[in-house]
Amino acid sequence: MIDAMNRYLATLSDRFGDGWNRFWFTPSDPLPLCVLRVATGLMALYYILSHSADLVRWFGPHGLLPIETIDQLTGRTTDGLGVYRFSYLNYIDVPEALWTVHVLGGVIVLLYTVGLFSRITNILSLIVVLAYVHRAPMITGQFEPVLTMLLFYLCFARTGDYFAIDRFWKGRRASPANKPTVVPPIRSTMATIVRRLIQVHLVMLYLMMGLTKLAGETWWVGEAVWWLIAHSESRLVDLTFLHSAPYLLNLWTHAIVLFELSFGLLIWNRLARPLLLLIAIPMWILLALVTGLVSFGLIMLVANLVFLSPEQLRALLPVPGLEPEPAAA
Amino acid sequence: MKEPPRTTHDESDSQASAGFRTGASLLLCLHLFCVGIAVAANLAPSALMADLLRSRVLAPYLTYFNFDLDYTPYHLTHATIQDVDDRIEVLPAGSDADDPDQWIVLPDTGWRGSDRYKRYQRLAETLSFFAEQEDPAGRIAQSVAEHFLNAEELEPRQIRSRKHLLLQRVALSGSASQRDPDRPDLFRVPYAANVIVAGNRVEVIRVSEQAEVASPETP
Repeated sequence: MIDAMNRYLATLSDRFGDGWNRFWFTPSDPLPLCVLRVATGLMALYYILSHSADLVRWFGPHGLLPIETIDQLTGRTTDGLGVYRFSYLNYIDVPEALWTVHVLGGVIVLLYTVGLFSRITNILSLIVVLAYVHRAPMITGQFEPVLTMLLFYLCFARTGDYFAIDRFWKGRRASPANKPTVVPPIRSTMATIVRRLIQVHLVMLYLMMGLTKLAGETWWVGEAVWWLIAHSESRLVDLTFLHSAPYLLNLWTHAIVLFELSFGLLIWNRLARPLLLLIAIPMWILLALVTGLVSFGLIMLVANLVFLSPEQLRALLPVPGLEPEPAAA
Repeated sequence: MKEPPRTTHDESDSQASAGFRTGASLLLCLHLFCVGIAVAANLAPSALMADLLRSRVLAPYLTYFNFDLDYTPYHLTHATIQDVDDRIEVLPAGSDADDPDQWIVLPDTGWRGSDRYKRYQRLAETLSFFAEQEDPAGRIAQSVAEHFLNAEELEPRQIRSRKHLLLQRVALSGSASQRDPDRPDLFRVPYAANVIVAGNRVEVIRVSEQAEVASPETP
């Protein structure tokens, strides 16, 4: 009996270890992360630019949310302890200086998006985005945590190997005749680790979204979508005509929860994955229409790209000079 | 002669030594534990989760990198009084409080789908959320009043947050007045404060009439 248990535990440990190593440490092509870099960079650029119209209104002298108000609301003490929300915007409220750092931040994110000095601009872009988040955390929403999550993880990967100025310059330096040449991308363990981290974190978010919905009765009884539609000051389209189609509202409500829980559980299955990724598109678009949370829907679709394999991305993105991987021997 | 297509190759470290895998696995487990706590604590954290999130070990990491979701409503709605649209309204001095057109409403501009618009809604939500706590609510109201006085050169008389309750589905089958989403009875004022201006400084004094206070109803 004890021998059997020992053999079981040994087998469990070996299989778990093998699976863990395969999952996290098999070298892979960084192409998905490079695609994510571009998409995340565009979303980060949008985020920074969205502050432009009201930059001084929010953060300037006599702004709507001065530092003293933020300190009181977040519980930060006068010596800065207790709340770990560093932002260089905390020290700037002169309009000219605000605009200077704002434009600089936008330039940094733009450079990151086009893949110039991607390692450095990735880290700087994260610092820039976090500065806006932490300057006034109470006016952030569902969008910012997903954006910063992506920026954080991408810091650890080589995201300048595709669709990047870095790659172009690397090709020029690699050729003795200074003629641009194709530099083969490098499969790496870090690319796998980063991709898996994003996948696991995203799955946690999906599961959390589904489970927190079920903490309230309105999602169980199928009325939640109606309550979203009824937000007359948030919705993008008026779907109140659906009041006479309760079954449709019920179905839509249940479908959202079912999708989020299914995504969290079934996305790892290769057969289910394409279906879930396709269903995600109309799901997030429709949610954006009824809630007005357009950026949140977009960033979730961007994050979903992490589940596309390099082969699938090559089929979708026929970029000249992108060499296909050879078939496995 | 055309060169054969060059293919990807592995880095020297891509064979991932046992030492690297062990160290990386430890870090991965620690990180995923931290993130797992932060994500799981989104809606209703246990005392253990809340204390872990506030601990000096985890808080700097989770807070700075924005992993702590901090009550962000990923559930979208539970059809409670907190899950409605909020707005901040400012009444300029000399204006008629009973005339809705004379109130300045935030959000005052922008496409509803933009984050710019949403930020004003979230400011209003924050004011409504703190409505029962004099200090934070008063601080927000004071900041808004000071902004309008000093930055927009408009002397405010009153600041309030206003909740726009939601139409019940059955109301859509009723009369035209019942179907109107802007019916007066669909608005609640969880917080209102009169503004007193002294030079460039403002003070706010909460309006405490019962008629102005929101009742804890579901939408």
